[in-house]
Amino acid sequence: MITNTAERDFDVIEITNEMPHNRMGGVGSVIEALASGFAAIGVRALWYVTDHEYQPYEIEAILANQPCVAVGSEAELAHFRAPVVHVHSYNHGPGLLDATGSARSMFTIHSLLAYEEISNAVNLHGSVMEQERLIAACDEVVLVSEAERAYYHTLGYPRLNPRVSVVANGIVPPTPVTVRPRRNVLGYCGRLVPRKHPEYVQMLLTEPGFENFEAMIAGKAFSAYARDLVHDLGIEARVLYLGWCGGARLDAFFNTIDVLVQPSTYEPFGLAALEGAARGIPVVCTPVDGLVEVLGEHAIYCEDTSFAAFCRAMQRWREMDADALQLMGSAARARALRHFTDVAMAHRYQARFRALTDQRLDTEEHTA
Amino acid sequence: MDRTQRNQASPTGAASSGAAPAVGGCRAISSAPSPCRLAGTVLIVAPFRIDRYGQRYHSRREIRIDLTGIAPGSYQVLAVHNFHVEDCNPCLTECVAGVFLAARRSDGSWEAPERFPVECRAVGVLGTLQVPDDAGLAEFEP
Repeated sequence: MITNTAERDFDVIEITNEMPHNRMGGVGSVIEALASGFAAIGVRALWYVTDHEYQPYEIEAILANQPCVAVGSEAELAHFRAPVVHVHSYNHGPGLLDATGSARSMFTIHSLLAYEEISNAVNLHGSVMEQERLIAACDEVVLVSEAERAYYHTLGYPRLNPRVSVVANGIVPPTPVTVRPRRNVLGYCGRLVPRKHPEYVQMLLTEPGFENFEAMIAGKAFSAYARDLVHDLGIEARVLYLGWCGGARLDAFFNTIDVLVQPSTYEPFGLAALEGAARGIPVVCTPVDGLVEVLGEHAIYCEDTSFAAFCRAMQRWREMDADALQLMGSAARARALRHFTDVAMAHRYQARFRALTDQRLDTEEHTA
Repeated sequence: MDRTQRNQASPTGAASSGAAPAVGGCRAISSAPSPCRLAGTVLIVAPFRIDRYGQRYHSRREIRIDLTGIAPGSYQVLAVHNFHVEDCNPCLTECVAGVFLAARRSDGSWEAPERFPVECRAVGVLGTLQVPDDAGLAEFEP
């Protein structure tokens, strides 16, 4: 085990596979916001990195840049104490909670893998079983949206663990994107997986009215399908793949695009949509799951998840005047800053930690 | 096996190294020297940059690939857009490059880096590598 702190007692131990450094996915971004939120309200957290894929030089950078971090095995968790351990892992062994002593355990599910499996048409059976094992083993399960709670019930998971809460994510409030003329740049942000339909924005470039547009794709995992799509549609020169964007590059992406599209069929929360909305950027998206909970009425919704519906929604966006777009963007930003900041998320988790340690375990469901 | 090299640089920032030699995005039109060379059982890929798809793909550090763990056969040494590393460079026309060794299959076709689990975009061919099935040394052809 390696750590950059001499302390052993904390308010909470946050167990994660990834930190906000060369992050593997959205969990790293949530950890970043949780760290800043906890710091703002005075929650003393240890960030315990285990079952990770970092190289030694990356561990070195994490320890140098983030306070109160430990990197070690699941068994080495026994070196630290806190009344609550809060698990974010999507990759873990069966003994993850064995070394946490008398601490109460909370497991935030950032995405229900059973639904990832269905919506992406991939076999995640082993990972689904691991997630279900941890659901059964922890004292409380946290989901990131009411939509996820509904899926949790549909899957029959209350039989594994009936103590469930919903805690919405938050982000560090970004600088709003100032008013500027349209550049005819469409933006997509997120992993390039089937359920998020990154191909829609590229296919749109060949539709009437969008001949002079370009697309920017920010996200992880290229594919043979994407390669063949841009080639076959003859749009290689109009699509910029930016790769996995973070920090200043993500800001540059949002500063460049006119609109953010999120045509997902399944979206547990909608972190990228929140990033766009918090900057006042118009969002065109499907009316599903966390997207609706995050954006409320301040988005341009497709009627359904089909490409035809996406085209119609994009036409509506294209026909909106600048004032209407500005108004929608401002309202979306105000909503984001009211409900979905790092500090708001930290307060929500702090309340759940207190409830978990102050009360006997029961079967109630909560919304924080 | 994922043979894509992870970028060991800290976030790239806006600065361009400017030192990396340009490599043709397609072997047929490449006139620049290959950044690859062999040193015993190690393939060394010097920093390079490739302009393609309206973007500039940079590999800013020397990459060393130990060939002793590589199965015998023929490989294309491909420059790829590395989709696995978090890129913080605010210059959106610059991207992080990596190197992928694409094995030749029994039907004569090459592995594609776009396929799972690598999921990176090929942006250029740096050369061809022969890894012998005896104790001999590998051979590289630009």
